[in-house]
Amino acid sequence: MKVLDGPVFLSIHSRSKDRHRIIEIVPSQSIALKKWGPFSRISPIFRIVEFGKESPQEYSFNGKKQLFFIGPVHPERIIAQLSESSKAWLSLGLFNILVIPHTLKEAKNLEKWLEKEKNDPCAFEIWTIQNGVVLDQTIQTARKTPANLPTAVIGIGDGKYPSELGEAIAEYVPLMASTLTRSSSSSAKMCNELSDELIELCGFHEKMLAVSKKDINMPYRALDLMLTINAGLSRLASQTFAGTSPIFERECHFWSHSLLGIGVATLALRNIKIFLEKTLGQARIPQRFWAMSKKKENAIDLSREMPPDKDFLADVDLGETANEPVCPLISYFSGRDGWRGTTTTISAPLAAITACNSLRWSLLTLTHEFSHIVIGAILSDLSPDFSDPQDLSKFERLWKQNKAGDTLFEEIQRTLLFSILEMEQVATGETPDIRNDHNNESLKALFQKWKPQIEETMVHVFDFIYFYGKDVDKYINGIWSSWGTIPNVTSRIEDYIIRSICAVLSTQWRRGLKAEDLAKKDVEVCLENLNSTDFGGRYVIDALKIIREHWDDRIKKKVRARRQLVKIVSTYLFSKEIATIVRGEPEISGGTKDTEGYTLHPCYIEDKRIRNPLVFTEIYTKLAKPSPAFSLWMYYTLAFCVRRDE
Amino acid sequence: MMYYEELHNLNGLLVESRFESIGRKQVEDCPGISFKEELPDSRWEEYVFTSPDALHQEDTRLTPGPFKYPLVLRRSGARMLIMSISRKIVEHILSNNFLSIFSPRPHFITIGVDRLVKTTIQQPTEYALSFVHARLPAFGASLRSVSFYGDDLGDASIFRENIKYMTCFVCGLRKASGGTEIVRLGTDGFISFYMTSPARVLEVEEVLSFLREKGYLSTHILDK
Repeated sequence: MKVLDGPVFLSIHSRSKDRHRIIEIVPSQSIALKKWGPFSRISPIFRIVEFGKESPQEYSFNGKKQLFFIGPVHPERIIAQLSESSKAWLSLGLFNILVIPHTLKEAKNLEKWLEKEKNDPCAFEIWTIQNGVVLDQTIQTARKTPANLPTAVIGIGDGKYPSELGEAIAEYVPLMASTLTRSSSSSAKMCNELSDELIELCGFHEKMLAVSKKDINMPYRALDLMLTINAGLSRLASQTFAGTSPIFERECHFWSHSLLGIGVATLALRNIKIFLEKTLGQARIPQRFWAMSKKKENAIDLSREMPPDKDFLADVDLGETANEPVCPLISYFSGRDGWRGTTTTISAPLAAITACNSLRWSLLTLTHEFSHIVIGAILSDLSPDFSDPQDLSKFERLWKQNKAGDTLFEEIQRTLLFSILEMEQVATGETPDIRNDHNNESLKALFQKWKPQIEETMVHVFDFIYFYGKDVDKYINGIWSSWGTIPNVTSRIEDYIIRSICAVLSTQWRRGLKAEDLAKKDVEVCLENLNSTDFGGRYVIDALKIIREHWDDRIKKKVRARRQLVKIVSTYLFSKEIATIVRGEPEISGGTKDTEGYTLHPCYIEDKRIRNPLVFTEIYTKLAKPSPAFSLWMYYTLAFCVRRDE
Repeated sequence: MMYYEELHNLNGLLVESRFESIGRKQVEDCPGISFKEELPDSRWEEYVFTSPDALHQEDTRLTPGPFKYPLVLRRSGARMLIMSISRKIVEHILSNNFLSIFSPRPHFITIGVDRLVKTTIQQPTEYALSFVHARLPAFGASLRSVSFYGDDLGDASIFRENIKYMTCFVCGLRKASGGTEIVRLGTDGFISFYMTSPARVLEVEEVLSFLREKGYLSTHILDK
């Protein structure tokens, strides 16, 4: 089944004289807008080629017709029930396939099949239409009784909180209750999985609120947490369940999809998120790092010795911790948040809905946000508690003792401090004097100033080695194409150059003094190649100019100041065993073609399974030009074909 | 017209249709395909596929079309093993000639090669590993893939110790009791074997039964 590019639009309007709903399929949004009224709604739908025939670009529903909205379901299951003369379109909503059976008899047969399908039943709604007027709707939602609200939701609702938190909690409780009941009232497996996850999530949220209560910065930290959760959850609920039965009553506030929502895209995004949680999340790198770095036998003087080439993290026995559940993130699309990761949410930009096939809007960018969550947790452990003078003094002593820390953990803290002083020295030309800083104010100020740079550097190295397999071309093309979409970043180009070279330095740092030059050369070559393609973007030429003109006097020194950070991530945060799980894809069959062993063909919807959504995304996100049909195909594959059962 | 009589090295795919069973008539109804004979003492069938296009690197300046290729099938319910002298011919048939009869077109059945290899090392069976081709995802661009050949790879410590870094996607099996490699299997349903004797097809069939019983053959028809 081939999906054709250039969506057409399904729109409904309310006729003013009798308030009847009028439905039509039109080739462009502007045609639909001519009839727009206060109750109008619209969604793009995609034409397919099946049985050698294309679905129509326009359709006026002349005579008496039945329109089936079915889903969420892989379209091949439905197509197998249809005759050659039926018409079908695909949508991004949870009702993802729209069918007009050729005859009323065929419609009856399809309805019977849908009612009988017990193995992963899908919801459906049938509209009877006479000359474009919707006469009635039959709703068969494959409903089951919604799960009882978990005690955690009720517990949060009944809890006692400071008044400043009241509004956020008051929003959270019905929001979570609605999302939960909407997902659990469908019999579709995909919705049930989401419902189970939400129940688990409530428990985590309850615990987070309980912990926050004890925090001295309460209630503002808890308020920030709840606002972030509410924002994510309300988008997830609106985008996923808008356009489900009864369609007329569930409008999507992503207005270009107001009729059917974007449930398939949100489930696809969720599958990527689940994969990240089940691989890198379950690996618990922060906990492994903590345990490993406190072991006496791993102590080392990083300023003098080359760390051994060893899988430090894989050797850690996590004990009971390994079985504890990982807090699921809420995944959603957002025009405002764009790519963003927090401890409770992860988001992708709305532009990726129709452009995720393009390198500029690649869903692989999520790995960068996920890396922030991991590195953020590790840095949080390594950083001193600025509100605790004793902790700051301990940190200061580490620097003044002029010898390696007693444990690897302390030595890495000492190395972080060394990197901060180096970065400050290169940036200002002055060596900060923290030895005579008796109240630790300079140390505190320096740490706060450079922590974002430390985190970004470490995140770039982490992302590069875990998710891009140290493939310089793929990484540089990916991040620079993505940066090309951000407006007004001219002043940050130098930072981006430094981060790029630091990431690549992770493949070269063992080569000694020439390592920075070698990494710079690799990045320069990639940027030159990128500049000759459609991916280049506005900033690549500027970046090349800066590298060429300021490598020796500025950039190289800044990269060298971060060398120890690269060393820490490459040696102590990288595990070959964990990376094998993160980058492994048992469903590919090898080969050196563009598809690297996948037998999927872009825009051909087939129920071939995949197991690693990241590898799939990496391999099929190579174009410069966004394509809504290609993007839809990617979302369908990610939503319906990812298997996690082995 | 050219026809490859020699059924020596057969390559093909394990596929599954949405039909409850695939009959000989349905295959014969596909354009360009005609039944030839049953292979002796087996349920395997040979057909002839006539193609206007050269699919096996023929020099069309010397040998004008149409081209005839052998097609060997083993049908079993909705599943079918479809083999020819090259995988390209099989893929061509699935993407073109089968479309008029089978819609949606038959899907490749995946074979859990990675799981098969890793389980065989931990719990040896009547089959031994004679070949493994694997990716090394953790090493990224530095080291992409490795191949191992031998009579019993699971017995070699260098292979066992490094298997945790491998994602295996092609493997070869031979009888642990001896003999040459019976069949080579790929994750995407790829099957290849040498027709060293008429009994070879029965040995391949035994391997496929073993894979099915142990749950290594997973249907591509999702949610079924």
